[in-house]
Amino acid sequence: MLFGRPDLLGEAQMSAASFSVRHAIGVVLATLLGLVFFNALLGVFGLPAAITSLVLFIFLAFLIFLRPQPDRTQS
Amino acid sequence: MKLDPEVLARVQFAFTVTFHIIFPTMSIGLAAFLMVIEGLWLKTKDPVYLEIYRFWMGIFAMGFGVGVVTGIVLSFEFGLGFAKFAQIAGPAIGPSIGLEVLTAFFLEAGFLGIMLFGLKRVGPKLHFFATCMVALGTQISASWILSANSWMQTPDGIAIENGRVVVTNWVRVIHNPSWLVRLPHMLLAAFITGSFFVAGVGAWYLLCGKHEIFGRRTVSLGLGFATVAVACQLFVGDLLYGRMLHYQPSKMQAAEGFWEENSASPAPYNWIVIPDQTNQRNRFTLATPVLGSLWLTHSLRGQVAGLKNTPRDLQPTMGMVFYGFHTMFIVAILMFFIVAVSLWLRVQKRLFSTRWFLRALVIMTPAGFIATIAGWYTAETGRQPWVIWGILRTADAISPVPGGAMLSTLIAFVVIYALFITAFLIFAFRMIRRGPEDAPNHAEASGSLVNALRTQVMDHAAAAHPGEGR
Repeated sequence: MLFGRPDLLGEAQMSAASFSVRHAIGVVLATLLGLVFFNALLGVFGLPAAITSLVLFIFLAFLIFLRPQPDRTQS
Repeated sequence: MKLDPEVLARVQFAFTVTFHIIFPTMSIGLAAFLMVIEGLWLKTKDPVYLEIYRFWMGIFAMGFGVGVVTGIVLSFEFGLGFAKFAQIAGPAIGPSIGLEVLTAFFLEAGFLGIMLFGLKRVGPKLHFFATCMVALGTQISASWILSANSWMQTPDGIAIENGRVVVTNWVRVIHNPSWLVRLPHMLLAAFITGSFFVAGVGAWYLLCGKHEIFGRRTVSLGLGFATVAVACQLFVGDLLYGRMLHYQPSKMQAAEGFWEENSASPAPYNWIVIPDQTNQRNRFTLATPVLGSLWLTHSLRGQVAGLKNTPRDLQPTMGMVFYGFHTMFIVAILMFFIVAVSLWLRVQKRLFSTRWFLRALVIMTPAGFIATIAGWYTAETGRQPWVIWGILRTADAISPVPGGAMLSTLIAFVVIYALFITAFLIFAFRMIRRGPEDAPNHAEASGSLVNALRTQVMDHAAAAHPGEGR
């Protein structure tokens, strides 16, 4: 096999963020925000809204990129 | 069995161009990525960037080589399979392809050697300049090819005299109505392809628990580029959709899978159709209500035009166009989902530790290639029955070559290209398995091209007269 198999048995090491209402609300809001951005970028709300949402999306993404990530790979 | 030269010529061109497009797409994407990485290395002097650069430069070089070889074949195929097209459209198409060689290939050829072999021979700034020139060359190359292909989609600036194309306005031939939208669409596709490729390989290292610093950096950078490029692509894709709806309505009618002159209001969005071209209807449709109006007309009750608006003899085959377009679009949706989730995970500081996401990234490694090929299938099959829209039918563009000859060359291409792809995949997988080598934390040469050449001359002299001066 040319392209070896990733460590699938390392499941136990994967992050298991505890479920909480706050987390669930965050996921729902993020999904809705994603849907709004997707449709806005597709021009559903018109060209000016598409341009605005593109600029806003890239700006927000850039701010998030600046957020440092912890060095660990597996928690 | 009677062999149809038209079908065989089309299959042959489709096969070779499908194979070819993988490599320029990768080259354009990786060249831009390498340019940014080397720029970051120059700015920060962080050795990880140099490690990333050296690793991806190897894969870029292989892809670049295969891309050049497979691209040359396409020019010959104009003569082999589409001689009448070359005869009629040569005056408009030929100069674009010639200018690609003059402007892009010369630029790439001039600087590729420095980029690939000059890391230890020239100074870092000159090397960075060479990388920039190679990246620019790939994009100029794409510009000319897109100009030529866009002219075939939306011809302009010409007159037909004695059955041949005569250019009346060069600017309008090059700057035809669809070029300036199709070009960014293709370049963004290449950037996205490169980004997902890079991020997928990085994610695989993280899942395997090796080369973790390299893996984290490539996942982060790959997803960063992908996030910006995917958002831009959705925007540009919608602009292109509107442009093609205006210039090539039958293509977009087929792409959306509607037959009736006007769809229901509000229109559903078709995800799966089984079209029956003979009876001009769908045998099966899987659709989401209202979404068609929303996405395609940008209103809640808009109607979508169907393929019956186009006379039967001018209709493209719906199945090909529909599935080409929908494969591209569904992959784009998946990509947007991935980049959106990556932003969420960055906020949560779990980007490198969420294994299901890393696995999804590995699965998405070839996504850009799939979307690009599907997009080109949409563009090319949707233009049928025309090879030059509204001017020359594909059936009238075929070379007077017997079907048997066409079939034998097709078989030869399949065999040779199979060898190419096998060799490329073996070496690429080997390089990926081996992983990045440790890179030095400083430039290995600090001088000008003059110094590099002087070193080269001294090396040659030393080789020619061993023992002298030692």
